[in-house]
Amino acid sequence: MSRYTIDLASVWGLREMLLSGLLVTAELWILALALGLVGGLTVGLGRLSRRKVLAWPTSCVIEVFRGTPPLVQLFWFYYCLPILFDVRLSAVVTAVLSLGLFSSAYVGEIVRGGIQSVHKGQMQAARALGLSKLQALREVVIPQAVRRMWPPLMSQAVDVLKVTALASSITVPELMYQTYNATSRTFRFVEFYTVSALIYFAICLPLVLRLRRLEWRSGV
Amino acid sequence: MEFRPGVLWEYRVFLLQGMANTAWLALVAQALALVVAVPTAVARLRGGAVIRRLAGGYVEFVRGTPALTQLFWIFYCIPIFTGLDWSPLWGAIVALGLNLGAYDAEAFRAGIQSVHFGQVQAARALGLSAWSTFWAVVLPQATRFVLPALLNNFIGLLLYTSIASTIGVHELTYAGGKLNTATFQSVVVFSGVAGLYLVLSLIASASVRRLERVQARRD
Repeated sequence: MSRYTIDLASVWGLREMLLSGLLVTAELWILALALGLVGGLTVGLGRLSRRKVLAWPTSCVIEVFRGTPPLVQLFWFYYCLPILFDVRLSAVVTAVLSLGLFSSAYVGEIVRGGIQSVHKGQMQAARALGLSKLQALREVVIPQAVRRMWPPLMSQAVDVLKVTALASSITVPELMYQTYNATSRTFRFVEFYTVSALIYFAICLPLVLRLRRLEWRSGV
Repeated sequence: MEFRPGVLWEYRVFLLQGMANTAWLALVAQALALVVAVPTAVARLRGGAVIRRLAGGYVEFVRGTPALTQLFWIFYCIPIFTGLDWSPLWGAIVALGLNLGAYDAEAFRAGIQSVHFGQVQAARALGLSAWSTFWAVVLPQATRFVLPALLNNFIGLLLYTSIASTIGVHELTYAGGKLNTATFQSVVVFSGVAGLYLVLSLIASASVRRLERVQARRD
C-alpha cells in the first residue's frame, strides 16, 4: 500500500463548483420542505377524516410514497411526468415535486400521529365548554399536537436534506452532483467526498443538537 | 405513446433477478449492521471516554450525512487506502451495513437501557460472569424490546438498497433503468419497479404490525 497524500488545494481550486452545488441543495431542501409541510398537513388531516372519499386517496398517497424508494420516485417523475402529462419540466422542478411529495407522505404521518396523541378527553371537554368543533380543533387540539410534532418534524427535515443528494442521479446540479463531477475531473475522491460529507454534516448538526435538547426536555 | 405492460412479463426473469439481489443485499447488510450495532451500543453506554466518543461520533456522522455520500466514500475511497479491489456489490453491502448499523445501535442503546438494573444484579448474584449476564440476560430482553424498531429500520434499508444502482450493483432499480433504456417503456417499467418495492415493503410492514400485536398480547 502506498502512502496517500491528502491534497486539499484541489478542493479549494474547485470551491466555486461545490458552492454552486450547495446553493442548489439549499434551494431543493427548502422548497421540498415547504411543499412537504403543506402537502403533509393536507394528507395527514385527510387520512384522519371520517369521510372515505378523503381518507382513502390520502392513505394511498402516503403508503405509496413511504413504501417505495425515493430514488425510484425521482426516476418515475423524471421519465414519466413528461410522457403522461405532456409537460417539459427542468430537472430541478422535477426533483422539488418528487421530494416534496415524498416528504408530504412522512409529514402526513407525523401530523396524524400528533393529532391522535392528544387525548380524546381534550376534545370532549372543549366541546362540553361550548366550543365549536373547529374552535376546539384550532384552540385546544392543534396547539398541543404541534408541540409534539416538533421533534419528528425536525428529524424529518434532516432526512429530506439527506434525500436531496439523490437528485444528483437525475442530473440536478446539487452538491452531490458537483462533488461527483469534481472527482471525475481531479480524481481526488477522498478529499472531495470527505469535504462534501462534512458540509452535509455541518448543516445537519445544529438541527440534531436542537433535537436532542427538545427530546431531553420532553423526557422522550 | 403506447403503453406495453407486456414488457414486464417479457423481462420477468431479469426483474426478478434484480429483486432477488435487492433482497440479498438488504439481508447481508442487515447482518453486518447487527454485528456493528450491538458493540456500538454497548460502547456508548459502558465504554471509557474515548471509546464512547468514537462510537458516538460514528453514529452521529452516519445519521447526519446522506447515505449516497457514504456509499460513494466507501466504494471509491476504501480501495485507495487499502489497495483492496472490490466489487460494487461488496461496496454497497459495507456502506449500507454501516449505515444501518448506526441506526440500529441507537435502537439497541434504548433497548439495553430499558432492561431493569435489577436483572443484572440478580444475574451477577447467581454467579454469571459479566459477559454471560450481557449475552444471556440483558441482550435477549433488549432485543425483544427493540425488535419493532429494528424491523422498521430494515424496511428503510430495503428501500435504500436502491442507491446501490448508482455504483452499478445489479439490483431492482438498476434492472429498471436498463429495461427503460432497452424498451423506452418508462411509465410501465418504473411503475412496475415501484410496485415491486411496494409489495416488498408492505409485506415487511405487515409483519411488523403483526409482531407488535403478538407482543402486546403477551405483555
